[in-house]
Amino acid sequence: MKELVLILIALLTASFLVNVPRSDEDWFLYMGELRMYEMSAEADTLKARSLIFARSWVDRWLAGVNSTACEELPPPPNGSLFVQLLREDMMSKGFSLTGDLHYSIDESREGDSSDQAFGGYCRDGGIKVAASSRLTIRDDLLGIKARRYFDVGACQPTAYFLIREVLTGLRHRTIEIVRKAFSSEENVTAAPQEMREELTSLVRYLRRNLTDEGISLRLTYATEFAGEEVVIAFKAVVFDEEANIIRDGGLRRGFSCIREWGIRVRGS
Amino acid sequence: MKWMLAALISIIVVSYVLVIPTRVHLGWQVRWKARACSDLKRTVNELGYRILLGQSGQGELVSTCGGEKGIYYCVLIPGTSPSKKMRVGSP
Repeated sequence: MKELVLILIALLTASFLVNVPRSDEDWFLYMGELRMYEMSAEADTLKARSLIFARSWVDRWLAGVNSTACEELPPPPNGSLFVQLLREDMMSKGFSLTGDLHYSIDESREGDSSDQAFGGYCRDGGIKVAASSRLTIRDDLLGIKARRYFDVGACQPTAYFLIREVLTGLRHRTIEIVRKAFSSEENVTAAPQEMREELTSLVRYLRRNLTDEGISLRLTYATEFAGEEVVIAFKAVVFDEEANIIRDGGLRRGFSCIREWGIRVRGS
Repeated sequence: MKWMLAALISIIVVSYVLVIPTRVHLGWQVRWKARACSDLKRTVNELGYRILLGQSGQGELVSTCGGEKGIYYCVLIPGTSPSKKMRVGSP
């Protein structure tokens, strides 16, 4: 008898604890609420997910051009691909996604704002990504929709634009220096010396400006006399120690560009 | 001994009679799903790019979402390679 009473007390207590809902509650109401929460999870993470996608895109590209000549411009992330991937995923959940996402790439400036979901910071000559979204998620069965319009900017801290600009400027300047040094026909023997002094001065000037940015520069060259011609082969290595790139699930520090070029001039 | 037996029977009865039916009741599903979705939003928005570093906070990164017990919700994270989903469950 005592056991029976105990069981009844336990059942009664549990029934209060679990608060069994009333039987007349509308199934559609529950379903609508359920879908609303799901839609909200999809919609309210769109901005963060678009930035995660952009970071992944830019970093994958940067990892691919690391230790190369760095002559290309960074391609903007493919917004259509992002929308297509989400559309396929949402379709399997019974949602439809419409609208578009557009990305653009530009050079960043120190002081620009960067969204924390992207995980970077803005510095001079870095990569700035801007995302502009006009996306709408619909549940046609229940007739509910979530519209998310946003314009957001973020920065990849690798100073790619700055390095690219330095290397391009360095190449042009070395061509000018070499041509000037070897332009004088009367004093050809003094030309290599003059060229060396000019190049040393140029590299010193560039290093002074780049050191504050955490960037180092090394310029080497080899002079070869081929008959009446002089061939000077240059190699410049620029290393950005502040760069950080996400690759294969890890954060890699450092990014370098190596560019080689040759200049041919008449020696006498 | 009798008291222990009674307690054991009570637990079994309560589990089968009340807890399991309420677990599948939509009212509870909505509450748990609401919590899962809310946690999922917070997790994705707070972690951001750190998801690419394999961090998942209170969720987990999965290749496929579903086929397991429990109430949860997943969102696709484009950019993860191969494509992963962030899943947060409740309870």
